[in-house]
Amino acid sequence: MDLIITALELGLTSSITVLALFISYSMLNVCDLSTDGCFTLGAVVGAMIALSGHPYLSIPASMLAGSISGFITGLLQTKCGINSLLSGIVVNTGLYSINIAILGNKSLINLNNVNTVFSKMKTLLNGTVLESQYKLILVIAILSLLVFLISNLLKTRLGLAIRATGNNLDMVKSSSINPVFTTISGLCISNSLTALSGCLLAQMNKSANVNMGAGMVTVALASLLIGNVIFNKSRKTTLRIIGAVLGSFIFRLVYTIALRFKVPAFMLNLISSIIVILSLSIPFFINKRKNSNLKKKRKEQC
Amino acid sequence: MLKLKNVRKTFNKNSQDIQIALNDITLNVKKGDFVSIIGSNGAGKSSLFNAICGSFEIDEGSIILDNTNITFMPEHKRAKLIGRLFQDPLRGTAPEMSILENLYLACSSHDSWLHRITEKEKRFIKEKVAMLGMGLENRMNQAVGLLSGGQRQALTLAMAIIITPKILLLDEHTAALDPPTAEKIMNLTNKIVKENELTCLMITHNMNYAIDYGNRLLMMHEGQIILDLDENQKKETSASSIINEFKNIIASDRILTTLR
Ligand SMILES: Nc1ncnc2c1ncn2[C@@H]1O[C@H](COP(=O)(O)OP(=O)(O)OP(=O)(O)O)[C@@H](O)[C@H]1O
Ligand SMILES: [Mg+2]
Repeated sequence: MDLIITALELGLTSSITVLALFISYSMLNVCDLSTDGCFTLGAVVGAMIALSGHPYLSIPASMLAGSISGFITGLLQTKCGINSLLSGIVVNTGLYSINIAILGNKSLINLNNVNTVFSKMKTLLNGTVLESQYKLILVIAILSLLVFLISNLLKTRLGLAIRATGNNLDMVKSSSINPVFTTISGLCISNSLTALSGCLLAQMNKSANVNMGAGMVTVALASLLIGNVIFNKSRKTTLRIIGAVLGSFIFRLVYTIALRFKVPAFMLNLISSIIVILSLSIPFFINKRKNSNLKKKRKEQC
Repeated sequence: MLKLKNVRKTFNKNSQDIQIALNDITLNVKKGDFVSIIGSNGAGKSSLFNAICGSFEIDEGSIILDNTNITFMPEHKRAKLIGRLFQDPLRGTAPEMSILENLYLACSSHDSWLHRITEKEKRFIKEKVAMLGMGLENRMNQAVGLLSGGQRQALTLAMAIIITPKILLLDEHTAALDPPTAEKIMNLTNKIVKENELTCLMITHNMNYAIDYGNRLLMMHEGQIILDLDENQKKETSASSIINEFKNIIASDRILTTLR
């Protein structure tokens, strides 16, 4: 049971990053490689502000930091002629230094005995039956709000324009929408979510370090792709968003069980790489099979 | 309505494979004109449209649309004034989005970013789709990617005119369709242009379309307009006489260059 709870807590917290990738990767069709650095950015900004005694402020502050990072990534790929993968990588590298600078030239910070959003939640729930699950409750509350907001956002004109930008750039331009604007706003939104995810994880684990985001983009992508399997054919955006969250939970669950079977913790990144590779390549090979079968048939007919 | 003055565009200026796409084009299109444009491959027809739409900046000259100088206006802003269809029927619509969402984006330029599609807008869009006469109005929530090329081209046409454009540009918009579908889209286009009294430029490789539709005919060659027939002249010509004329012009062109 504890196992599942831990998987839920971790899975749901990192599922916020999966939501971010849902916007950038699935909607905007940009593979945002600044995710790792941005996740850490949210963690260190949130941790420093919580440390200074403002746990609530840590949430908007980390989101703001994340959206600035997203803004820069977006600006590089739309206005500076830098390829979208490269702009993510460049920002990611730059963020590494920035994150250390924010931590005050350290690579690790401890939040023991510091008021965090989670400890605030604990005192809030003090004496009620829910007290022991304060972490989970806070994460679920935030996540539900986000799922609600994002699924509504994607139905607005901005959301539709962001989706169209990832779908058909020509169509966006001929609909008099500036694709620079939609790309940058999409990346601002998604990176603010990534940073929020990092901020919450740091406060949940009571520590932040400059490497905590390493491999996050692959982990989140793996979760996203698992989610796609669950709600594959569904065109309902809300269901796809929920699928992304579920994917993240399933990924963590599998991983937690693997840990139980003495798979060392450092294998997480390898596992997620393999999941991403498989879920992207299997459809590719299936397609190829289908095509070659068709070809064979045509040859036979000849 | 549309005035081009001494428009020039050269690609790869500083290299060996220099390409003169538009060579001093001056053109004056009146309101309500339906102009068909013909010419061989590489004549500069698509470049002419790209210049009007702002897909690239022209090197010289000016473009005036309905008394507005649009020479330096960015592409997405011009799109408000111009409706455009491409040869590729997949190019005008977003495949993973529904018919409703595609058409909404085409007519939403005055809405705020946080606006959501209202019932009234839904009805308005449904009406517009019904006008295409293809039964698509019953499939408003289906992804456009599931439709055929002809259906997608018809939708693109609906998107191009849902906010009445100052000018409609059609770049071989039936060329990728099978003949019956092409015929259907061409009739639909003609009907829509007539009903809405649109000003329209149409590039086509189909001589019969060029002669049957529209009230003016342009022929382009090597970045220039080499033939300009008005309504009466056009009525008197046939496909073969135009082809002959074309051959003559090219031949005299060759003679000129050899003389030079
Ligand atoms: N982006 C570009 N870069 C370089 N050269 C270009 C570009 N666009 C057009 N050209 C050149 O300009 C000339 C005119 O091309 P354009 O596409 O306008 O021809 P077209 O009349 O539309 O021909 P088609 O009937 O084949 O569509 C061609 O020589 C082409 O190679
Ligand atoms: Mg062309």
